[in-house]
Amino acid sequence: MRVYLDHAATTRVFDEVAQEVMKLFTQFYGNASSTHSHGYEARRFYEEARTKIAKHLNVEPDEIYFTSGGTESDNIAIRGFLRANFPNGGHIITTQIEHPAVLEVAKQLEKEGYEVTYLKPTEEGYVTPDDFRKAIRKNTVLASIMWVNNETGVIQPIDEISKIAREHGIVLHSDAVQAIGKIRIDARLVDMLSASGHKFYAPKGCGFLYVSKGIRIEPIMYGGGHEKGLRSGTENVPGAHGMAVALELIEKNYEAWSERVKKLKEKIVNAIECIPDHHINGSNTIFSHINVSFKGVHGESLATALDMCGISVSTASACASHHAKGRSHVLEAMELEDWIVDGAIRISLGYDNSEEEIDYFVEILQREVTRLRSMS
Amino acid sequence: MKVFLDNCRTTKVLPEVVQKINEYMLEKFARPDGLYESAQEIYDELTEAREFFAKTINASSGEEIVFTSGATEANNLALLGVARASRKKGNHIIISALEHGSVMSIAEALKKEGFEVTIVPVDSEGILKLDEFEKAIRPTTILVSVIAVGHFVGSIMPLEEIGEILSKQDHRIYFHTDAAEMYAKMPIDVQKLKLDLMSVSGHKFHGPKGVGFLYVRKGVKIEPIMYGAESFDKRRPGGENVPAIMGMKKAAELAFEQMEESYRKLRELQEYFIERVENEIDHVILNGPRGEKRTPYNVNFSFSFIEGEAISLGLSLEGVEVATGSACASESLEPNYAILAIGGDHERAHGSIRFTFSRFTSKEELDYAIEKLKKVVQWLRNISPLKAGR
Amino acid sequence: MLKYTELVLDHFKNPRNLGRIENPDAEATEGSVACGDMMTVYLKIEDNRIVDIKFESYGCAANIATASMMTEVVKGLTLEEAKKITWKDIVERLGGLPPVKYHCSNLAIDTLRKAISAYEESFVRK
Repeated sequence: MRVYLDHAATTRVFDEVAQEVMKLFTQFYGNASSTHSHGYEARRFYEEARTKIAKHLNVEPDEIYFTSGGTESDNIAIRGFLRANFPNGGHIITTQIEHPAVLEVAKQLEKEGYEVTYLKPTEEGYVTPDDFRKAIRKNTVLASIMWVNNETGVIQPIDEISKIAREHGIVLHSDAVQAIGKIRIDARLVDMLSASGHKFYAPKGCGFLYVSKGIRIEPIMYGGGHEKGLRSGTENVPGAHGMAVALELIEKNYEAWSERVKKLKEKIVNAIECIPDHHINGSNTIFSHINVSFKGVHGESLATALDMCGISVSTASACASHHAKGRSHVLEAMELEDWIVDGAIRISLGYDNSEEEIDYFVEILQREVTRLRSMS
Repeated sequence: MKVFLDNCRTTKVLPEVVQKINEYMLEKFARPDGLYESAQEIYDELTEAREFFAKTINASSGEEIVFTSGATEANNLALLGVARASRKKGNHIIISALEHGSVMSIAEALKKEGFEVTIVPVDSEGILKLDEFEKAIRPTTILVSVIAVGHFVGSIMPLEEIGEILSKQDHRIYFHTDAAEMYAKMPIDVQKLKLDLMSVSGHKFHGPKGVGFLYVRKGVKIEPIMYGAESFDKRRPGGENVPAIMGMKKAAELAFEQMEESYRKLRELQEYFIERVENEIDHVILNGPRGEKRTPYNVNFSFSFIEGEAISLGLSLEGVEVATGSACASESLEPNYAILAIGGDHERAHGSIRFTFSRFTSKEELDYAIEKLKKVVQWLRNISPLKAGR
Repeated sequence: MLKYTELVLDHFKNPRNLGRIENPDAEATEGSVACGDMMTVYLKIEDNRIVDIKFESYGCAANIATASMMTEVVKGLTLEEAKKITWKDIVERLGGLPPVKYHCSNLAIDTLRKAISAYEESFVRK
């Protein structure tokens, strides 16, 4: 049996979404910017997708910009905003637990002369509104705080941080890549928000960026002036449409689906509780994520052992694992003990996991942890 | 009957390509950077895909291929990336007067960043003036970007000669081409042409939208335009659009199989089309070169006394889709700069219609298009106050 | 990206009052080829009323459609009434135009008014 438990890394497109996307490929292949009938059809799908996504986030359609993904959205949001409003420097607040798409941008900005404060998370995995408030300076121009952490699944206190940011007139961006499609998001809490299609059962290679009306922002790429000049490049109509369809499906089935996944997570957590010397990393986590460490077992060995039984999970962050030295910057920032950081695996459930799969997983997990421990 | 003759704008995605995309959306959906078997499989296939694309252009290794979200991003990465990385060496960039809009826009943006841009003119056929090009080179020139095949008038640029001239300079100048209209249609050898960078767009050869690649010769210093997780490629962070990349690979495989035969077939069709239009409709001007200097995928005529948007809409109502260089059809209300660059006046730009073929275009389709074209032109000329000799 | 209403497309495909008038009472041309928009209007006037109007046009679909609609609107009106017709009236009658095309209906009205002025001036001189 193959069990996929790495939904935080990427998801399998919903069947209905795949069908819709295929329809666009085979029936309508107009370029949404061209003046003929094929173009009109394409444009219609594109703009409808924009409207649906805006509605999902409780914002206006003209505040949604389509991009090629979460990384690009983060780059446009942060660098585009600074370029347009504070090109000569300023202070930025972000966190130590951001996704590399924000962290790397922040590091690059430091090279360019900006000051950056990286808020430290608590041991439970979230940054506190208090720390945020304390970090604010006279020259703070932007804050970028993720909505849900990709490794631990910890939901960050965006409500309270938003209030504080508004009090001080600081523009707030949130990388909501792991939140969209899992929890209800009112984007009005923030000024800019990034999302990535392939995290919520939509195609890869597409994403969007919400930018509140009134926020001036410059592009990082130039060309035909698409997306009101913010993101040039031939419109990825299938991607946009796919994202709208996926969100619609999730909205429609949210109660049932989220309940189901919550129960599956409970099953796993209960099973973990029965294994001695474990540590679940992060609290107030989203229903999809379980980041857990077992003493005496190296995360990578466990992941490999699980893989050999057909189960896919991840260690550290998917992004870090392929070539960098795979030590989670998030868990390190939480100042967890070495065995916890080295032993961590990330289990991320999806709407397409079945009870059968989870029963199998739990069985194998218990077996493999025991086996690996006996070897160490 | 519906005849699509706007293939330069976009092309129909082939069923085999759609199937590939489907496969990677639904079955092989893992990321290449996971630790599990299905992820490793994707990693290997992506590596293989890079090798494949490298071979198609005689690049020395798959590592010289950077997958992007399309040619616009590739152009941005190439120009912004190289200019910014080479700032200490110089600040002068040379482009041609017929570059694709994205290159023109990027050049404008670079000017705001302190770079100087020289636009080298083209002749009346749309071919880069090599003597003027050579004269434009300065000690501070760091980058040259010349489109491989002009997208509006179809002229094939003298890339080999440009590469030759650049290699004779006493300092290193990077050579980029936007090859969107040449790749998979005509052979490109980056060694022979001495190219350092090349942009390719997936949806121009029956692949999906939202994907392309940039060839970056080993050793070329390039600053990324985006930062993030460096899972597969440091130069372009972010999750790879695997389905689109594999779809693009399939589209390329199919295109390359047919490339030579298509070239010959389209050359015949192009000559046929040009001959019929010139014989059967009066007061027409062919924009761009004839023969080997022109891509066989493109025909562009200006029709006197009538206006392009009206012609293209009239044709569209008859089932024939084309493009026009008229100001009225553009958002900015500016006439197509390509016609102006080859020495045409505004009137010629306003009356211009571009017909672009795909390797699937048939003679029957062209016959149908010509009949409708004659009808529309005649009818619009009846409406027009402009008459020959008036 | 231009989306035309059904009415605009209809006037584009089947322009009303197309052509010339032999010995018109007034004639005017506005616009230029360089701009991509040009129109000639011919008027036949009796007792200060436009009894016939014809047009020729060089330009885009909106140009042709607005000219056609304009002639339909003013045919039969007195000169005074015709002078009161605005470009907005034309756009409204067409069910709307993409804003970027409003200048086309401007051209139609300008050409009409120029023709009427030419007539009135020549009348006065007579």
